[in-house]
Amino acid sequence: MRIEGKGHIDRAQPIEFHFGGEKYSGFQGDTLASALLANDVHLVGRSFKYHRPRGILTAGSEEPNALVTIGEGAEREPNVRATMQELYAGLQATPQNAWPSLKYDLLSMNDALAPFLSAGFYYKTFMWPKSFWEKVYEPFIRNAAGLGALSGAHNPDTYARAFAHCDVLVIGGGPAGLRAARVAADAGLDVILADEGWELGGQLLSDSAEIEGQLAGDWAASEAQALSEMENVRVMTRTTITGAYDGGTFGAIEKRGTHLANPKGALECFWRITSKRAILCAGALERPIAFTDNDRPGIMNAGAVKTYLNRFGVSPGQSIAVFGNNDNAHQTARELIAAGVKVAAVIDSRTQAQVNVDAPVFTGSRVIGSKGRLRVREIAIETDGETRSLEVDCLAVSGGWNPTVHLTCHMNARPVWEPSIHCFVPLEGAVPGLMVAGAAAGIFSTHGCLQSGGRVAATVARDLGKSPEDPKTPHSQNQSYGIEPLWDAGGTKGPWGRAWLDFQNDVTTKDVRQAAKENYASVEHMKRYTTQGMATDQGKNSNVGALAILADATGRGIPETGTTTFRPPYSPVAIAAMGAGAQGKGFAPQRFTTSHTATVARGAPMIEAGLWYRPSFYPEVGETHWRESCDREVNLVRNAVGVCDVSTLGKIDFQGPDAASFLDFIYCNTFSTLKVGKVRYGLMLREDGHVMDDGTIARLGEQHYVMTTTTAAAGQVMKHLEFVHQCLRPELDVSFISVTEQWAQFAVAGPQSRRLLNTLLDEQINDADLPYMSCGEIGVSGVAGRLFRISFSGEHAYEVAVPARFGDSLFRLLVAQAEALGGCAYGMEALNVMRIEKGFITHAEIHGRTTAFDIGMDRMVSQKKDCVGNTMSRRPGLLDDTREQLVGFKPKGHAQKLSAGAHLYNDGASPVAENDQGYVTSVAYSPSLETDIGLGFLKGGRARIGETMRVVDALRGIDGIVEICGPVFLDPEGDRLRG
Amino acid sequence: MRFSAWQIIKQGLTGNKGWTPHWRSPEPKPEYDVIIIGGGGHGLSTAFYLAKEHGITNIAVLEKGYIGGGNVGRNTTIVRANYMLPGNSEFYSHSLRLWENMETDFNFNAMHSQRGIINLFHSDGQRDAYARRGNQMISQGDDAVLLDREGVRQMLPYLDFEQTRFPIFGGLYHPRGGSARHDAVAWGYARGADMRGVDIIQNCEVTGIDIEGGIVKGVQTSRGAIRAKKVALMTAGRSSQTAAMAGLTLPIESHVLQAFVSEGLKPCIDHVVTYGMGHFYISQSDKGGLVFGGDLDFYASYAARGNLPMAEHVLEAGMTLMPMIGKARMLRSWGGIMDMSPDGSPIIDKTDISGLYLNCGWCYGGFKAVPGSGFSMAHLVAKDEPHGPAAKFRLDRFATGLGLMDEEGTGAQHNLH
Amino acid sequence: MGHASMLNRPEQDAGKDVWNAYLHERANIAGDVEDLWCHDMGCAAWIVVRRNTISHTIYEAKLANEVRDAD
Repeated sequence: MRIEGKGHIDRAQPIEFHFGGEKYSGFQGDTLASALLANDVHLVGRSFKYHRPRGILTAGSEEPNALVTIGEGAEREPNVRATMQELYAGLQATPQNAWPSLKYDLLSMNDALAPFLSAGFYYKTFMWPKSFWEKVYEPFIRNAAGLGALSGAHNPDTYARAFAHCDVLVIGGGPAGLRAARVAADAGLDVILADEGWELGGQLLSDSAEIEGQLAGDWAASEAQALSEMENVRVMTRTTITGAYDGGTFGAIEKRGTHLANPKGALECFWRITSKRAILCAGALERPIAFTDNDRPGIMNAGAVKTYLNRFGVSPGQSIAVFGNNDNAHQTARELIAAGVKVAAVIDSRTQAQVNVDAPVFTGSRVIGSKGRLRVREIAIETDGETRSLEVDCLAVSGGWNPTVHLTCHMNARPVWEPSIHCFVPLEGAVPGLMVAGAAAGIFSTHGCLQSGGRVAATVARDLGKSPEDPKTPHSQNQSYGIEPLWDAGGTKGPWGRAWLDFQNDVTTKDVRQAAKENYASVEHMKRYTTQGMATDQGKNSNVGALAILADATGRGIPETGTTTFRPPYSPVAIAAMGAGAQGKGFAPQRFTTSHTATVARGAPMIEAGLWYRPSFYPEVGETHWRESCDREVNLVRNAVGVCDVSTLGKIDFQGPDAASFLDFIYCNTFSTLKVGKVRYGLMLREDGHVMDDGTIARLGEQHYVMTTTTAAAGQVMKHLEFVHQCLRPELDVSFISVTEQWAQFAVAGPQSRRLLNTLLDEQINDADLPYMSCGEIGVSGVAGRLFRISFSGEHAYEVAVPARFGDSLFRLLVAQAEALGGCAYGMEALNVMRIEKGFITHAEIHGRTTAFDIGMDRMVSQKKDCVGNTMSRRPGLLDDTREQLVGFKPKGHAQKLSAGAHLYNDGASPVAENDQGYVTSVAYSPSLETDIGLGFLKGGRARIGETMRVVDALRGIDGIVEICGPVFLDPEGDRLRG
Repeated sequence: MRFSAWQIIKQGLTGNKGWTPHWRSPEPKPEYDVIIIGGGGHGLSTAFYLAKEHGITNIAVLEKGYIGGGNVGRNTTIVRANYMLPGNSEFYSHSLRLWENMETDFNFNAMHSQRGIINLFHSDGQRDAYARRGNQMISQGDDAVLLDREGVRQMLPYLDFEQTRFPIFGGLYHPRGGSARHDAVAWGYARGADMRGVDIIQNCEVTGIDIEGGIVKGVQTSRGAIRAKKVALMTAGRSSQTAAMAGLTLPIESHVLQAFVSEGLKPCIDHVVTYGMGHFYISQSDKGGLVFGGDLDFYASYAARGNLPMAEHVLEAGMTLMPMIGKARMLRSWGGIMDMSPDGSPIIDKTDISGLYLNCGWCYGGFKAVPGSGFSMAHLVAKDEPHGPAAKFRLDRFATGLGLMDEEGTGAQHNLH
Repeated sequence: MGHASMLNRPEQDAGKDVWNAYLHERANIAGDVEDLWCHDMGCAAWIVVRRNTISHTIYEAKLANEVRDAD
């Protein structure tokens, strides 16, 4: 119910929202949880295993029960914590994990079977009959599993990622954080203050404490205002710091639009914040007490009850009992009474407790049971040796506070057990550069937190070379704590008498004890076996309690039992946020050649070649199948002339007195003998003796060479060259740089190629000027360019290069001229056909496991000099005769398809792995030879030319015979090349 | 105690007080026939198969921490037999067949689910390479189907077929591949081994290996000295440290691999899916969480945790491939220590020290190999001869270049596999 | 790339054991090491990084070609 005169909500702005099909009303400043409680709605979900009714437990992001789906359609977001969802007009919230409704959930019958569903039960059954696991049991388990559902639609929202840098990152804007940020900023440091809430203040928003005579919440508001006006402070609200990483880096998730009815721009932003220092002021989380049936809706954390009262003006009940083991719990009772709410009792487990509350008090007592299926209506109190029942509609429980140590443990540290306050505190220095202040360090009074924040910030400022004044801590209360641990208050026995630890995953104290009995005694084993701590709250509400039970059950102390590992993210982060920008085309850069526009205009379908886009073929009017276009292009290149953009091949420029020596070291063959104006094929090995890449070197000047690589390996080769130069041969005086994007380069291939070029070159060329495998600088219609007489098609061919800004116009000119000569532009399909006809290899053949020996180029590996890969290429295994060697294939017998990926077997042998003789790597239909041809590898292939083999492609249902031949199908003497 | 539905009913009716330890916590004896150093998946399965197949039960598995606390407890749970190269092909094929009977063998439900794995490809060249792989699988006696784009769309309609950066050309589908509950595999083998008399000694760190005259004599541990006739080194990411105790230097580099799980969701991904243009693979566990991972962080590490750039890159790949997971939230991230080998394939071999056996180099593919590795290792240790399906996993293949198994074709650089 | 031992490339005829150790074997220390890193997304510099493989602390970073020259 709503309490007049309390809360920071704006009663002038009522908001309508829907939950579970019902319409409700709340106010601006409510969360979904506070608005539901104001409407007396406690039942908000069902637990995972037993589908027990679940109510709101907390007021924060650690909420394990009130998980709802927000929104509809493609925008729908599952597993949203109602405690963190700010209310907006028209909010649609749907309960999860209940069918057909929250009130009448079919799977709540699981609860009746509870004795048979204890920890680890599924490991002990569901095994027979074997086929039933996948057909029956698992589908049932999977459909029952999970909480919310994704919409299944592509994400429609925008997310962003950003970076920030600062001197000090203050994590948490409660009393400690506000002081820390202020002191650090006053000292002149650049500060980022991040808080997961939309308002700074933390616990101060829930308190009626006074700071410097003001209400804590008001003091927080004025501090927040002051900080927002400081130039060197950046306040980031709705921002959760999710993880601590190396090098002072922190991940953070900022909610920018999830609180708005019509968000614009990015819904969430994932940040990488790098800071010199950090101060963790993340406060502490309250822990429940385990007792039989402690999981009913209406049983809440005492601090949360106080928060709903003071921050949202909501009392979660009309007759509330308070149960705790510390002084802090009493404050909830006092404030409820002051607000006019009936406190039915204060139950304090400590026998010597001093309870100054104007309500019935039971010391040395404990709550040991409850009643009320969909909402608590009665509790059982064990007091003075007897059991009394008490009618309540809400029970506020406080088992003490757990400092929020998580970030300090993200870099492998474990927290330290502090016996005086019965909780874990951070290990000092666990994250380099991060210090801890306030409740996160185990300081639980308002005054203590304010003081701690100021002092730590002053220390940090001094560390960073500043001279801060001694911080003057604002005056406020030093509340007492006095905790005496109570982990399991006990209660009724019997198979259905269960005390809950993990409310979402339905893990009870019995489960933990059973795990110990079955020898899952390490805390990690217990967690994984029972699934305690593996729910969406990652154990924030149950870890310490479960650990205490386990310690007791295994006869160890809590410190000896230890904790599990803390890992990022502190709170779950949307995948779309951490992967922002990558949806659709954003995942990787797109690289376009200079001929792209003209090519697309011709209707050429484009394909990805790494990051590049290249044309598959150039369709002519009337062509309906790609083969028609491809065959035509091959014929025209071989009989007239063709033009193809080859700019994507890596081009690397080398200059310097030691350039030739460097090339000799990089390639297995020799380049120091290459004359100016000549081009030579080069084979590059990895240091392990396998082929890395092949390409050409053109010597343009005395100390000037240009290397080409394949498109696929350009990046890898460049990285390799840098490694060799910087790490292996730094004494060589050579400079090199990638010029792939600086030069547009086009292949002009075919019998008419020279004729075509001579229509554009400033000076005509003839065969004597530029024989096969030569190069030079030339002018192309007045533009300074380069000309290389090299061929990948096997025809008389050239590659002409101009600075990239002239690429588009040169391409158009070349193609126009080609067409005038009866030729055409050609794409990747034709390029591939022609190179296969000529036995030129690509990365389909040099797939990373190939040696020079395999491709018949072993003699290219010069033994007169060292080179990368030389020694290792002579390992016996790399020269073995039984290795698979490059050969060609032609189908034998009636017209038959070859396919790449088919395997080879001896004719008549069964196609099983033991009989494998090799495989086909590349296949094409050769219009020149009017048959399918292929390249591939065959064991001892070079000695088996002329043999017939069985080729089997079981995937595509191909089983035939091939003839083994040499890999060069066309013009093996190379007459066309040199003509 | 034999596990069964009847046992559950019986125990449930009597207050679940009768459950007994799944394995004992014995004190180490002064001597064993075999010591297995490393209580992970492979170490435990080796102990199990030594007992079950070879009748050797006087074994101690020595585990520094708690069993199954290393990579077997941290992986993305993928089980498959879709390797291409001789050596790997027959090994994983054998391992998958063991998976199919594993739960019956050790009477523990490891929730092995053969839901199918699809390796997507995005170009003709990639398709051809997967065709070679798929045909190898079929010739090995395993199952493979080459799906075209429409075939993939029918199975995985939620992928981005229209907007994605690298279009989906098709996929290699391996129906018998799938996933399992990783912890349960370790626990099942542990319980099965313990039941047969194997001593599982937790919180027992090996600090030295005793060797005299080239023959192994035993180990030194944090719980005292233990003698043994045979010692098996099975410490995954820590292999170099344990091998160093025997004076051996291994061709291993330890790296961090991150993996991630989302909050529990109603079923939306029914298969294991791998992306072909970036390291990304995903499946959905029986509890509803999306389990996914990607590539190494690339720097040598024993920290078992990674950094943001690679984590973000993995999620980027997820978003371009299947943008429907955008509103799923990453709940937890973790990292392991991967023992990377120069060709990306493992080592199961004798060493130059008589009685000392080596099993390492699983890179990040060790989970699917747990049964096969244990079976083959047990054979090697019991008979001092390699087991057929694992015969090619020799340590000396790097020196000789004979029988290298470089599935990715990236060469002798440990962090490229 | 792995250990900074890659900087010490053996002579061509150093023998197969030396080469096998260079290319394949690693000390693979859990502790202080000298790694070889590459500034891939930036200036392409190769750097010898002295760091700790357990804590990821970085002690020192030097350009590889300076380290090589000094040898």
